Amino acid sequence: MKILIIDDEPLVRRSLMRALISRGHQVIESVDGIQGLEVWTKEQPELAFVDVLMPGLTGPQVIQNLDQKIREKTKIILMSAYTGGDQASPKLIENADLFLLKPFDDIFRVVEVAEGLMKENSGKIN
Amino acid sequence: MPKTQKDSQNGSFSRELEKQKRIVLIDTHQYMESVLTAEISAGSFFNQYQLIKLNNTEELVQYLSLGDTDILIAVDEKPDHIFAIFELSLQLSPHTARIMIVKDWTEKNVRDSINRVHAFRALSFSISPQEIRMHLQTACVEAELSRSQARLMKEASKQNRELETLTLSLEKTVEDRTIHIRQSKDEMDAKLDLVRQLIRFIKELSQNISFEELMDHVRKYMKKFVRLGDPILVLRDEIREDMGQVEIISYRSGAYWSSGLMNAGREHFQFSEKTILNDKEMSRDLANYFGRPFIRVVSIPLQVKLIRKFGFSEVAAILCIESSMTESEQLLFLDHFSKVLLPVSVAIDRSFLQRALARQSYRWERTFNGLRDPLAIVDVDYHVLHSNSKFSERIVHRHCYESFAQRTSPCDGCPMIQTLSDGSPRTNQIQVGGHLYEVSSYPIHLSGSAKTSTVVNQYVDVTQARQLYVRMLQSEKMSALGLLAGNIAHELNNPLSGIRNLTQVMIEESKDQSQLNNDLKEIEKAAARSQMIIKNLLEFSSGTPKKLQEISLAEIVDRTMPLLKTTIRNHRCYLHLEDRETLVAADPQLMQQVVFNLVTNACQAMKDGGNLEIITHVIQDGQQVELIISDSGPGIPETIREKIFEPFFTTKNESQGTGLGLSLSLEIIKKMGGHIRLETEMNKGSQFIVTLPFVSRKKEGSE
Repeated sequence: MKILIIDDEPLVRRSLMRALISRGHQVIESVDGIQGLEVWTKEQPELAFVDVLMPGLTGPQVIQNLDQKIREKTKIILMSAYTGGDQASPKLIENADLFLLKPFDDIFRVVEVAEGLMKENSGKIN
Repeated sequence: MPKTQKDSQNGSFSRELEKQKRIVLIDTHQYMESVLTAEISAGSFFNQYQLIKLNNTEELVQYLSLGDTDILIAVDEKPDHIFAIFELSLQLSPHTARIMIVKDWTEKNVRDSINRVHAFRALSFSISPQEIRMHLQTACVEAELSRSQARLMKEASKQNRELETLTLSLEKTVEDRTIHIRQSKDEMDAKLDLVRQLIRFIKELSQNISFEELMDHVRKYMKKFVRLGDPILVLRDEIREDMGQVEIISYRSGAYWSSGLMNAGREHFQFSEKTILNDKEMSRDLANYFGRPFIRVVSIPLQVKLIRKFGFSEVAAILCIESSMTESEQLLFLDHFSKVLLPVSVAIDRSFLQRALARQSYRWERTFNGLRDPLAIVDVDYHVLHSNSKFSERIVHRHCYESFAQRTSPCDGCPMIQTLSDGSPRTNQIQVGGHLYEVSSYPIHLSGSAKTSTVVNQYVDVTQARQLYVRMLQSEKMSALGLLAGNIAHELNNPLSGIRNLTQVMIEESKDQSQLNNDLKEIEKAAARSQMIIKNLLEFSSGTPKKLQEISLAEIVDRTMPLLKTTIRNHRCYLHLEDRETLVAADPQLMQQVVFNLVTNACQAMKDGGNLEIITHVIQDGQQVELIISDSGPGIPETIREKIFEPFFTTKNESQGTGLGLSLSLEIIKKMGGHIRLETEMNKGSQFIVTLPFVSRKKEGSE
């Protein structure tokens, strides 16, 4: 499976990438929203991990600017660092298939959830 | 003048008579005349004497009436003639020395001469000239003696008479005087009585303050004048639009009554400055008011100078008396009444002043009582001189601190000491019960004393304002902390999450290398712990209030303790967190603040280190959960145990605490349906026990 990770924090990208690769997935990285939008359009991944707060474009902005057809082909997991408040606003969740709060207690659990999402998607297509 | 001349003539005549001593000789038949004349002329002894020869009794009578004769010599043959002459002489001139010379003497004749006619010598014709001279000489001496005796007698009797006259006139004078004195005494008594009456009247006037009582005395005083009606007092008070200004005080059914202030209109009740003997306008106005005719009214204006001097220039008073006196009676009465007019005026003046004063004082009283804040006028000994109702709602004691703060000594921080010492207003805060008062002391400068000895204290309850302020400060502090924590957490969480997750991947990939695998596991745990701390910090400092959540007290303590590591580092800390499945309904963030507060207090109580123990457990009835935080500090003195939950009560320095920690904690816990109580023992330590109602039990395996 082709998976895109858009996050400005290298360690987050790296840890996710390593976990996904270890499960046999193909991973593409982007360091910010603008680059992420480009890569997304070009590569058309099946799944995308998108950080909310990033330089350039924010995660939700990236999703909004995405071509609708491409958007429909991709499962989106929106990620945000927990800052104490209630950040999972309905609007954010609406744009994404899943909302995850960082930090992740267990990275492999995240991978499992992601795989579940993709299975759902492929099931639908099939 | 002629009278005086006559007097002086009489005087010289009598003096002449006195000089000229006389010897009268009656010798009708000249038996012895030649012999006697010769003898008298010869002897120098008789120089002073004048010899007068008389021929008969008629001449003698004439002569004797002129004045005293010293010696009378009668010569006859028979003594009977002589007896007649001598009897006459005895009557007219008793002091004359009488010598009778007769031819022959019988014994009877001699006896008669001596006894009947008081003859000095009875001699016979046969007597020798020597003997005659001798007898004459003796007679002269005798006559002289008798004469001076007579003069003395006369003088004495004259003086006696004069004395008598004098005494008489004196007695009359005394009597006159006595009558006069008695009269003037009566007059004086009458006057004194009048003065006494006047004094009594004035005294009575001075003892009464109300117009009604004054008028009662005026009426009693005027009672002695008949044909006068009961006096009526018409007053004009200060102009007050709401109430009118004319007041009539009149005698009705046994007492004086006031009409109260009424609106009379401009044209009625003119207040003249002069006494009017027949005040027609006043009779008309009074007739209108009383609804009966008034014949003739004497209106006497009363001078009310003092009240006018105080700015009430409109104030006036007129005494009206209905009179049926004649004009002269009336004038008499007015003359009499003029004596008391001044005291009556002064008394009325004083009543006006008193009324103005009472009104003013009532206004002030109302003003004071209308104020929201307690006010008290306090002297240098902390005695309350006066206070408003807000101040004296409580029981009034002698001292301000007893009344206001239920203390036995002046309140800490009371600003009045300083105000009294330098006379300038001060403001400071004092703590009374659960209230914080801002006390402003203003000096009262009484004229005549340089030093301030009285202040007025205003007590403004700033409890709520202060609470709001401190709470606002607290919430601002928390939100600033929240913002900071949010930023830091965001920045830390990303790398931390990367570290942890990457470590997890590496743990997976290094399962065959046990050493590396174990190391990586340690790193992962440390990262997890760091994340936990950040999460707790975020929750603790997040400013937004959350809904109640079901959570265990043990969990709350778990979350809070990492934030207190520096606070408790000098103490031994024992945690006994039981009954983790028992949940209470609490706002985790606020609950954490409570734990934070209580633990901080406990640690601050143990200055030199000690044992901190935190226990959570379900209490016996199973309905409540307890959180016990105990220290091994010095304990809390009994005197302040009641107060420690009061807002702003603190034993710490300003920098260390606001005095709100415990009161806020109690408030938070009460809102959650719980309670905080204190158990303390001196020198052993204190326990703060938080009780919250049990809500539900955590289901097995649920997260």
